[in-house]
Amino acid sequence: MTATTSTRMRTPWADLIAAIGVDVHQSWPGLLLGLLRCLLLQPDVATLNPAWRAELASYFPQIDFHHFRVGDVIRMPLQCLWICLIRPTPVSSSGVIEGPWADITRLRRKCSNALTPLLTSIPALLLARRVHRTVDRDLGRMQATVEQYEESSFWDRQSVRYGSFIIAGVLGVMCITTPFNTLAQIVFVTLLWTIAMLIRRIPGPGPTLFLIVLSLTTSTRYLWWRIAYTLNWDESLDLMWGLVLLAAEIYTWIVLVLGYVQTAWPLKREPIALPTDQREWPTVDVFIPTYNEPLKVVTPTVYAALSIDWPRDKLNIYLLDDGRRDEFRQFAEEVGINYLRRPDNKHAKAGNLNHALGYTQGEFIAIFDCDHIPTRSFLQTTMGWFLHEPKLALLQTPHHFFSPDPFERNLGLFRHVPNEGELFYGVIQDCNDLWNATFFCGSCAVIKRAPLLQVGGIAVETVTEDAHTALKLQRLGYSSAYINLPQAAGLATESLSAHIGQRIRWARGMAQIFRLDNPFLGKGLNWAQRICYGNAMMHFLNGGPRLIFLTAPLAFLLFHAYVIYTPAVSVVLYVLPHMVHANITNSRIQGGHRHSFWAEVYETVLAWYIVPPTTVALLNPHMGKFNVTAKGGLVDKSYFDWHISLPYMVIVGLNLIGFTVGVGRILWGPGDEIATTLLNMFWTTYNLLLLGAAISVASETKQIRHTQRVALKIPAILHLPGGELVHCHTDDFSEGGVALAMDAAPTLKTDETVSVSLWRGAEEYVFPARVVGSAATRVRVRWELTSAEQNQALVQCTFVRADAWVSWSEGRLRDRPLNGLRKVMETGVQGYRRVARQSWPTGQLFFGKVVSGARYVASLLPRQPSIEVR
Amino acid sequence: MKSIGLIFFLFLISLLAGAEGMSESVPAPTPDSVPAPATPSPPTDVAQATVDATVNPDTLPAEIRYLTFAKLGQPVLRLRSSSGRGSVSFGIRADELVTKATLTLHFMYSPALIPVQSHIKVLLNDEIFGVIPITKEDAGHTLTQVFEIDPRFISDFNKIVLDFVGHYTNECEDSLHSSLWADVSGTSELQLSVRPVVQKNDLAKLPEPFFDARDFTRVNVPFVFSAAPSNSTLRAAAITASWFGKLATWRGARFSASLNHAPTGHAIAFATNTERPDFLNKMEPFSGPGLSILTNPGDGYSKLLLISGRNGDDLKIAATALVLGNTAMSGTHLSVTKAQQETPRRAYDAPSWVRLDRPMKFGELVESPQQLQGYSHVPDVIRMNLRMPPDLFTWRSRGVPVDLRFRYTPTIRTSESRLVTSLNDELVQAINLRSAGQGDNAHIRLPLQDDDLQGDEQSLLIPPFKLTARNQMQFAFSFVYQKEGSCRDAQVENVRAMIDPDSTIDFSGFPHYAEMPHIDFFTALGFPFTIYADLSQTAVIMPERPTEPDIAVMLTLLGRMGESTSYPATQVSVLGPRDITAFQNRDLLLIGSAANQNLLTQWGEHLPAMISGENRRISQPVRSVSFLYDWLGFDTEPDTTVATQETLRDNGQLAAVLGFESPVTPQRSVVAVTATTPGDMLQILDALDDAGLNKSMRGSVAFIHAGKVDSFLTGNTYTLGAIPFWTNVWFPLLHHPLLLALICVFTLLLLLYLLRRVYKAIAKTNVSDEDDE
Repeated sequence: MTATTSTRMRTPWADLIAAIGVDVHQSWPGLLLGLLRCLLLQPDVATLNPAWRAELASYFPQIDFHHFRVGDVIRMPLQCLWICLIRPTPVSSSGVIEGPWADITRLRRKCSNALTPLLTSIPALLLARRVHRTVDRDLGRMQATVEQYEESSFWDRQSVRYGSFIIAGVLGVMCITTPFNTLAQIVFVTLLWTIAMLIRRIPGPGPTLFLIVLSLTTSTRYLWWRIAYTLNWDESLDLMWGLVLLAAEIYTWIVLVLGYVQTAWPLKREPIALPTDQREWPTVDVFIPTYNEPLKVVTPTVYAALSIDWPRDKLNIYLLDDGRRDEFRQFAEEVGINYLRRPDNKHAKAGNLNHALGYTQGEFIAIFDCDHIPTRSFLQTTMGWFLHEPKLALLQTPHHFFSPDPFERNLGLFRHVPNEGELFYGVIQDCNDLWNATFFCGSCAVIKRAPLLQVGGIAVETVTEDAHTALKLQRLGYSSAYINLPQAAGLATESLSAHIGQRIRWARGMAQIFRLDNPFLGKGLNWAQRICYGNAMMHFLNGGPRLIFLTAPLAFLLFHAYVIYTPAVSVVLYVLPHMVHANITNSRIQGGHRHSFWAEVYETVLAWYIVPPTTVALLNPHMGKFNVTAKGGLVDKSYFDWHISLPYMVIVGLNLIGFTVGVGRILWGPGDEIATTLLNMFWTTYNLLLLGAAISVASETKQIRHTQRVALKIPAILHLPGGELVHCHTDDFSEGGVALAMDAAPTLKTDETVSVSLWRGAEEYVFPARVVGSAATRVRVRWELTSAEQNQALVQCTFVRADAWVSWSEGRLRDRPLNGLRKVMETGVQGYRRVARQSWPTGQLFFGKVVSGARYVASLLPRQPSIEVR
Repeated sequence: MKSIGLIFFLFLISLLAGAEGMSESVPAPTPDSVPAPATPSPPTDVAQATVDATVNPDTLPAEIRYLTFAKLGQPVLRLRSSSGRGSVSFGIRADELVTKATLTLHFMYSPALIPVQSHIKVLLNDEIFGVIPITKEDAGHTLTQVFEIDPRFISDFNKIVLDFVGHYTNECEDSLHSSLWADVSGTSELQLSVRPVVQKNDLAKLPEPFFDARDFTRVNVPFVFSAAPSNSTLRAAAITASWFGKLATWRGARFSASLNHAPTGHAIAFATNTERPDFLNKMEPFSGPGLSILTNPGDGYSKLLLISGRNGDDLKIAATALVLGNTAMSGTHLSVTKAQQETPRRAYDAPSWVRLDRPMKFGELVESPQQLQGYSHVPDVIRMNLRMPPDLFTWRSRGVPVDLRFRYTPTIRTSESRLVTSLNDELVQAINLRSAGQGDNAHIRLPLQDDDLQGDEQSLLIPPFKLTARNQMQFAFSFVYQKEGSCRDAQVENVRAMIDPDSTIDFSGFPHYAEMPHIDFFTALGFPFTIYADLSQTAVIMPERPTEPDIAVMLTLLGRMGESTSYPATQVSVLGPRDITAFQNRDLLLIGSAANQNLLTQWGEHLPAMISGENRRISQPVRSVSFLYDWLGFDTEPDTTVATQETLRDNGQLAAVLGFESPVTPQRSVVAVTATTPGDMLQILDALDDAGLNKSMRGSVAFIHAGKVDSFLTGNTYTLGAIPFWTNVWFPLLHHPLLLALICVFTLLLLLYLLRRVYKAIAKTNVSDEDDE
């Protein structure tokens, strides 16, 4: 025994042990005992040799070798196990390892080598690894190959194309319908998943299409399986629940399919140059409708409109005041724009615009909501297409918001995670454009007068007049276009209730259109346009299905109804691929504009509130009224919107009951139901976290500033009172003031009068200001503007810059589906903590304990060591 | 001590007697070779052949029959509770007379019983004829008591009842007390002295005396032919045999063939003008199809049913008339004037099989609703037999839906009272009974197949179905006894439970599909021949010169098919090996020993196995090239040239049943029944009759050899029936996810290219073209 030990121990481990002071030449138990004694009773032994300590520290990052704690008894062995099983990064590239650690590395390699065959015996993994390597090696070549095949004249023959479609269809049906037993399904889905993970790395639209088709296959396979094999026709209760859930799933599937068709290929339309001869440029009326917004919200918009680069004689600006306020009339006169008011407020905004149509003559009409500040390049960017394409009746640009919406503000996501609207303007509208199905969004758009008059002006039948107008135009064969360049910016809604109110209106309006002027029916549209419009409307019907998903596991947990009548493992094997592929694909399509799983949060928040209006509108489209989205207000203190979150609290309560019952079922229920129960509890947990995130949004964070601060980096010069000039750039600005960043800030007293130079193109404007505060590299000043001209110039130098919003999404993290999931889940937990804080302030101590307890447990877990292998 | 000695003595006697009884002691009959001098066949008219009244009853061979309770279906009678009851039934054939009957009971009773008060009554057909007193001394010993039974009380169907009156205490008696017991051994026996009764020759009695429903033993009927019966004669015999098989039902039937000599016992003879047994030579030429009953010249008192006609076609008409029984028959001769018109049978419409076109009511599946009823707290298991075509393709079906309705007397305590439903002794579902549930119902599904990771490997050898060709659904009610304490619990056995005859089971909607060969399908239900209950698609191929065992095997197999379908094989054809053109579009039942049946050598390459001389040769499938090859599902073809050859030791006796695809018509089956010598073929019949051996015959080859069965699945397989085409698409892919994934990727790539072009084209029309203008 001793002999073998000594030979085995002739490694640095032996040296290490010897260094600690334990005799190497003894039997295993003695050795272990000695080591234990050393580590526990004389922990400072390890500290004697700093070299060893450093090495140990790199392998045991969570253990402080100066101060051992009780938990190390668990941490050490766990970490040892971890090191043995997991290959630490980075691994030496040379493969030849010198020095005292060579043996340890070899030992570890041996361990992992012993494990590798186990892992690699799964052929799929082996294949995956190999393909991964190949893909890494020549990604570009693969892409070229793909395109080369695609360009092949082989495809030009019609018979080949139709034949291929038929073959693909038949084989596709085969792939979708072939039933598998558990093992075969595991192999099948693993393979498809591996392929998706590989394809995901190849850039270009082709792989995106591939992922889309792959996702469609798995999802359709899932749906087929659900319909064909998982309904329990023997039990009417189960069947009822099952059909309800199935209906929700079918809805989701339809939206998924339509969404894929719609968003597979963004057109990415570029602006087109205007003729050089300005006489050919058409006349444009700018409409700025307002109803109850304060003047301060409207002024920047008006100034910006005045700054639009367009021949003065061909640009007429109209302030359409439905609030009939003299203050506005006066302002309009001051700045020299037209002012229109009408005797009644019939049909709200649509009526207002239609009224204005009767008093104006411009060939084109640009419409801005009173809080959407256009850039100077707005018309030059957009008008080119109208001159180029005579049938074009509508051109839309994205709505850009420089203030956070309630989600962003309350969850602290502003500018880290794309906001809710960004998916629509970043992807969907751009893709709609491919199908000639871009629709009007009420603002930041140009409409041609003649076609608009032809459809009777802005539509008034529904509360979403914009989409409906676009639909009417397209039914007459006019085309629409979209340029995905932010050419105007505005304020987002501040409070969650206002946000929800706005979405309710949209949902109602869309449901109304769906009933009154269904895009799938009627004349004039091609099938793709029908899909795009239909999908936009279908999207707002998601409330019901979402609520069903939030409560579906309760059917089993509370009522013991087998909603999906099949073993739990099959459910996992079919649902998971469906969800995983949909997520991979959507992350690929939308990643830049919507992070994974956030859609779930947005839908969850809205679900309860859009069910009644959409249902009512579908039943009776003429019910319901137009509510104006309130903007420019303040959330003057942090509070928790109990009213809004109440329905979610109820669902949370139900889910909690379900979860508890589930625990009971596991403990006392029949053994063969445990898997099903666990699955349903897992689902419930997911729902609970989703609801937590929704509740988190209802915790309104304080919004202090009256004017929104916008981050913008443009060059500026700070004029010091002494006449000294300091070159600097803006950090952020608002209508009220600006923050300037410089290498070294001069010493300035508060309230000292300075002036700041900004540029509009080559023109320099100097604005008087007063210092608010200064730091080492930063000076904050408050504007001291005296005239309307100055105000206008400021707007022109800031908001109106053509490139003001273009680089908005720079520096944002790439979407990674699992990260998205983690973030959403964290937000969910946070939501519950917020609720707890609000409802049970004294419970903070308890929660603190829970959290620190959880942290402690987490600290026991092994960690990935960062080893530098020489 | 004295009683023990007596018991031992009696036991010895009973053993000896039992052994004798087992051998079906047949008294020495008159020799076979004796011609029929005693049978004065009237020269003018066969119909006038009348009873030979001159037979002296005393000269007829008397027989002593020993029937143990075990043989009568009661291994042991357990008499329980204060009024336990046990019974044994037996029947007496109409052509037999019991002259003496003795009942010997071996029993033991509880020492706890109070003498005088406790006793056992012995009843025959509700008439009490003896009492077993309970005595203190004899308690706990094996006792024997002999009762003489007055033969006059013995009728056609008889029931011996043992009525137990037991008491263990005088106060507060629990009628269900465990000390109340008396067991009557299965070795208890009934000793009957029987002698034949000579009856009048009368067709009206048919099927008696050839088949008597009172006889609970296997039906044994010899068939008599001329020295070289033609195939058309054999066809008539086949039809007749299947009818007897149908009548015999669970008793089983065995037919022997006598070529040109009269056997003893009741027999059936076939004669035409050209071919008839020599002893009928004196008869007038037949003028048309006819049935007559004569005295069997073989022994001089048994009956001979003569099926006659001018030629084989007449015989068929006569046999059909006999088996369909539509004609009123009486007298000794009946001329069948015209062929029976029967409606042609459709596939799978055998009367005893479950219906596949609609749900079936339980009432249709049992003979009387009483069979669905149970008495007492733990009633006998209610059993319902289901015969189902074995080729029902039930893959991925969730099971056969059963809409079960049942009634029961209200239970007092519900917790432990339940109805347990089983299928072939495997638990399907247990349902708790409710206290008030007068009429309850439940939807259950009979499981069909274990659809899981395992179970694919041996699916051809061991059918993966829980539901097989012959099934039994079992419904076991159990009620809890209500005990409220001593002296207060008068237990009344008034509990009843019943499965409603209106309950339904639904076999409809399954496609027919089976991968063949499946010898077990053949042994269980005569499949695939019985798909058409009248065997209209079946040709039996006899050897050129059939021997007695060949014919016996053929007749017995046909009898089994009649039993399977409950319909006589009226449309079966019997052919010789040369009628190859007639083999087309028929399932073939090939009969003959290896040397005798030319077709076996002629079709050698199609056979999964061969018997030649003392060797047997089996075609083995060759192992595939690689694991991947197998996994991708490219089936390897069995190589028939490579074979294992085994020389049989012992005396080389070997019989075999082979299944293979018809070399004449694809998708038609051949079942070959063969052996080294004709005599060995009878081994097959023995194996079929043995429940254990019968079950072990499966695959494509079953060798029967010295009471053992070896089954193999070798040779080519083929399929029967059609499955929906999509299942056809799915089936090969089922176990090959890799293949499907490859197909999937290919499809996706194809779609990718196609869609890319579409999208690109659209994007171009929207943007680029206009740029070029």
